[in-house]
Amino acid sequence: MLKVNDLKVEVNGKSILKGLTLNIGAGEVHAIMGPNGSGKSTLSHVLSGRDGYEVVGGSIELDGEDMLALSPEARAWKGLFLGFQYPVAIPGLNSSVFMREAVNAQRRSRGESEYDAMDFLSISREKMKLLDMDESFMSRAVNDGFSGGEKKRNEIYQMALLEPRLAILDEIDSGLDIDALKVVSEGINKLRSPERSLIMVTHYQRLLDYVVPDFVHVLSGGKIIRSGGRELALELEESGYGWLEQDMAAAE
Amino acid sequence: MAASETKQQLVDRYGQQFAAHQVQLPGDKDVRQQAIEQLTDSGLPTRKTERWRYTRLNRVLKQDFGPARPVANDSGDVDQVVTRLTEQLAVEASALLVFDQGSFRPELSQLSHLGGVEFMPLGEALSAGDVQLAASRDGTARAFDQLNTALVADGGWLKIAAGKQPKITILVLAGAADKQTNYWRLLVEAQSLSEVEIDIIYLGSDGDQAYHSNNFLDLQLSAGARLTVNQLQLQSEQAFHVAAMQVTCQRDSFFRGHLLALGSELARDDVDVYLAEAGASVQIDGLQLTGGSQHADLHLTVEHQAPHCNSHVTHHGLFGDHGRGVFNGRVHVFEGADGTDSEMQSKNLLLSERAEIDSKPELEIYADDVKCSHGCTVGDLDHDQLFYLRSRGLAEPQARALLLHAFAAASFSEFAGPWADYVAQHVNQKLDQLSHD
Repeated sequence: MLKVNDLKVEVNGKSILKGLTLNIGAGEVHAIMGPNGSGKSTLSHVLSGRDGYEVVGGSIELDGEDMLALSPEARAWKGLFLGFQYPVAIPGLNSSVFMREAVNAQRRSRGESEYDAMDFLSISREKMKLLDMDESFMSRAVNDGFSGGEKKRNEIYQMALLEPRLAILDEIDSGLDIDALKVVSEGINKLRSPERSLIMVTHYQRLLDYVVPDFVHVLSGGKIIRSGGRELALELEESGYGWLEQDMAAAE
Repeated sequence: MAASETKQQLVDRYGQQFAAHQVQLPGDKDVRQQAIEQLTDSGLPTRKTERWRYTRLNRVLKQDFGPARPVANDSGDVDQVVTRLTEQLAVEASALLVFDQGSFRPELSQLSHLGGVEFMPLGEALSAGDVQLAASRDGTARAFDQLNTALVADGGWLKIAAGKQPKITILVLAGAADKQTNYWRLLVEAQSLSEVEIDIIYLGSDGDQAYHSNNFLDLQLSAGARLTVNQLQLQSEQAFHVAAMQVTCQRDSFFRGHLLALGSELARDDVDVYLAEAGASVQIDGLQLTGGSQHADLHLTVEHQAPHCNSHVTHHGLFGDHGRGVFNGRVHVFEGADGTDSEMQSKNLLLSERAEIDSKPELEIYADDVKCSHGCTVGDLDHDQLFYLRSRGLAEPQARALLLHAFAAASFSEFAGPWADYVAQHVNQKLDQLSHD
């Protein structure tokens, strides 16, 4: 489904991703782990089309289509979703209005009819239940004054509404206490399906206790240096990221 | 030279108007006499007047506004405007005070829903000696206050009794004003532990009339009072609008203000908040939307005169075409005003290369134990917000439009019901106009 091949990315002339290759099949859950500064967030942002990253080599294809040529919105229309590490607050923009516009923009792009306010209300209520969210949330401004847990729940709620084919969750676990992590993880698990692929970018293995991945990749120095199953995450937890540096030193 | 001659002639003319009308003007003559002398002595603001540095008066004063004319009580247009507004605002069963060209119009007002609020037209209250006009502050910068004090004939006087009182809507209509000056003044005495919300709409006529609207609000909050004043300025696009708001807060009182400036060729608001006793606090949100050749200027000062007072001021400006904005926000913390908590933010978006904002938040602190912050941003839309919206599938133009509306709407997010709808409708209309200029 998603093919990232030898991807090389620079930020302000500095090389961040140095030949990253990743293949994700339909319905698979991949975890990408790595120490700070390894390029995790850069990967999330480049996949979703954010400005400020210069792709100097390689390719990103979704079902054989070149994603690099597409705007962020066009990627979303193709079924890509980014769950933000730091969801931005937008005072003055009502959450419900925002999500209805977003869902309808995606429906329009697929030639589907738009939801009216009533349709949308019943759908959004159903999705909010998945995440144990209070309805008052819909009348608040987007992420404005939200706690860390509320922001992350909001990301998963948006994912539930938009029903992406590929979701990239960028450190969705950061800043969450155990209870909030459980709620968010349960929400993610409910959204797993044979048609939906997930990339979970994380620093900690803790998240993977709740959302069990099919594959784990270790990103370091702008490359995936090891791939394996669930056990790789456990190994990382025991030994930390320290051994990576030795590996890398040996490689250079 | 020509400009200053014009101004001198104008000051002379104001003096003549005062001499001709003073007999009919209600209330104590001395305070008016003093005000006209202040004006005659110091004259109208020029480019050298510090508080008027960014706002030139010549282009509006050359309109040569004459004195206020007597208001005809049979003008059908005003009736229709009031009927329409009453429906839009859903205030058929609420307190409504209507003023046309500065004069109270009892037959268009609804006084039966005032609850524990006492109301008198200002002219009557002054004649009866129930209230006095406060003396004007000295100096060229306060010339228009002085003019108001000298020549104002009517307006409103409200005395708010303790307890939560029903919302009051005030319409200040320009009516048939053209080439004339309308003076209006509002006195509010919020008594101890009273609570009330007042919505004020300054509304120009549908035509493109040029007039000078000169307004003064004297708001007094006694201990524990909570007063909310929401001002929506929708003057005609040729109008010269001036409004001074003087707020005095006694112990533990709270003033909540919204100042939304959308209309006028030139609009000048002067807000002075005196936190006079411990525990008083103020929160003000301002919004300026200008396009065409419009110019909006807000000078806002918070005087922290006592300990443990809070002030929070957030000002948003959106400027398109040749639109200009001025924001001068000053927080002055007196010696001994310990425990002061103050924050002032000015956030601005320029939608055109010809638009301009001059923003100056200032802090002046003479106490030790204080928490004060201020900041100012000028620029384009926030890139992170824009990317967030686009990543959800909103095309860039739609994402931009939503963010512009959100930026403006953040200034009045507390509004609810038909009032919120009415304000949003005007703001959205204005934003669409600015985006397409």
